[in-house]
Amino acid sequence: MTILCQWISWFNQRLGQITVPLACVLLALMVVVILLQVVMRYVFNNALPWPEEMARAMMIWMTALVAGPAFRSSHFVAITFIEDYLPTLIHTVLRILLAGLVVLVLLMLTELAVEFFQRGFRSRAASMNIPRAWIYLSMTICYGTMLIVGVELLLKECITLIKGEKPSC
Amino acid sequence: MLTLFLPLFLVLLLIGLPVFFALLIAPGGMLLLLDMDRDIPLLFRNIYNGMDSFPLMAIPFFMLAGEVMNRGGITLSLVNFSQTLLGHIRGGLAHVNIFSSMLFAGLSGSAVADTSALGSMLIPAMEKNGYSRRFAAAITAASSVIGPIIPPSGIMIIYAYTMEVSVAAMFAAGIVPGVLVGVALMLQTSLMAKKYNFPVAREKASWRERGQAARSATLPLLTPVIILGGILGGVFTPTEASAVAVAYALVLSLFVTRDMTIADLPGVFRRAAISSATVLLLVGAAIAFKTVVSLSGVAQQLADWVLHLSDSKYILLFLINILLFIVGMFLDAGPAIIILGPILAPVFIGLGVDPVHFAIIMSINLTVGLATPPMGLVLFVASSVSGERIESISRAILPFLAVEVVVIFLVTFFEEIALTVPRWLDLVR
Repeated sequence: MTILCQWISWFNQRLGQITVPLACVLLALMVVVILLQVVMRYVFNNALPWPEEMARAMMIWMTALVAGPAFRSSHFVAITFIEDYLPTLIHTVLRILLAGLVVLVLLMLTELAVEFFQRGFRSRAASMNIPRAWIYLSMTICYGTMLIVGVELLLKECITLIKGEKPSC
Repeated sequence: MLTLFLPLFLVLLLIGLPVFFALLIAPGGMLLLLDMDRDIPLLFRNIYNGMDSFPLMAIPFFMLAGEVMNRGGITLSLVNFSQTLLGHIRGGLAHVNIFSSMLFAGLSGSAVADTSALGSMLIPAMEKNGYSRRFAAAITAASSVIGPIIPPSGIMIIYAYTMEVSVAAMFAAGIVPGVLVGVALMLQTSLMAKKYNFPVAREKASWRERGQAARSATLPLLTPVIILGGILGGVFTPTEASAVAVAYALVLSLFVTRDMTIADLPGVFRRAAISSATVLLLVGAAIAFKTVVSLSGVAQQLADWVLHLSDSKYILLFLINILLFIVGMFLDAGPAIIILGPILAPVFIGLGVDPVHFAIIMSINLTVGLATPPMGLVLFVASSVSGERIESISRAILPFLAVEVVVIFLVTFFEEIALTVPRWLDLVR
């Protein structure tokens, strides 16, 4: 189990090294596209049709790309004060149950996201000449990467229970 | 039966499930239990629809602008300016902390950004000056709630997006209440400064020194003028204004203060991307949650229940403030607005409360909720910046929360405090 955990941990870390920079580039492009829209409207008196939709698509992709790494680095807030009042064993078991629940939900969300992506081929983005599926694909990436992070966190909690200390992976 | 998702949601939150998952699991779980599976794809779809919004794009942009300004030494120039004005009075650094928050609020729309930017600078400085660390962390957290009250404001953008209220009107309505929170906190600090004999930070600055500090703060302080002037003057939408703010902050930091280099950009963008993604995901999840609130009919029940409590608009406003304050203790402001806004606002608008006035009451109340335990985002950040335990900051913040509650009630019962500026600008009748 420790080896599996180490492997997934390594994978998630590497994945984050790819997806987070991509998200940063998208964020920068969003700013550029919206500034372009302002400049075109005021300076050239020519309102472009596509910047708004394109920037929205980039925002969705940006969110999707950092969702996994954000989840992994505990950016998803939770109330933790009850933990202080619980005995360590019960607290660890509770955390395993919660991590399991999260994995289950992310599994369902990923499945729904794949269907969502497939349905996206039936419609096209209004101002960009592409099927909406390419925007919807972001949700599969979003929940898929979060799912892998969820599995890593679940494994870590299980190892904590078995070994009685936080794992090194 | 479906209404049971509300207690389930609370239980999941309290046992430590992240808010994002609790918002999805509670309604989703109940739908599955009650064989209403065909509504599950609707729930899923609404997470996406909730995030896919042009008005919401102002949130990542304002977060990015805030990160850039912080890295670019702009925060420092604001603190220096405050220091030359207020550093010599008793409790100087505490006042500087509050006044800097008021200035920073015009540049940033997030209390969390305010706490981490000012906290990392002022908490160590205050400790060195003789304040206890928990007091320094508490005053930082308490004053950072001014951030989303004085425009720009992420929370108001979320409210305006959910309830289709004008962002411009809300921004205009937030100015006076935000300043009022700052003044109230400074009054409280003055009282405490006498009682506990707080230190002064420095000798009185000369006018020449003040002039110099003011000059270096002028360009950063033009940001709110550009943002608000642009939005209120109808030059650009809030989202466009936020993109302009990013460009302005980049130019200032890279070419004017030159405290930031190109090498700093990846870190700045990474922090902005991660923090805005978590907010957007929460918004999406809250919109999905709201779907089930409407499906279950709980919205109507809650609205009826509120109306049964009293006939008087003022008593109801008083009670609703208490409810919102309690909700704010457990839930982040964004989800709370998305879920409760559509239930409560129509009730009060029906009773004759101005929509923008109610929007401001709700936004301020839930913003103060960011600094209340157990779920206080600002407390979490203040704790991680200072290294002080959340529990001890929570105790030290109580006197400041008390004056913030007083301000909430003042803004609630004297609508002129919020509405004079937007009326003056013809944004509200």
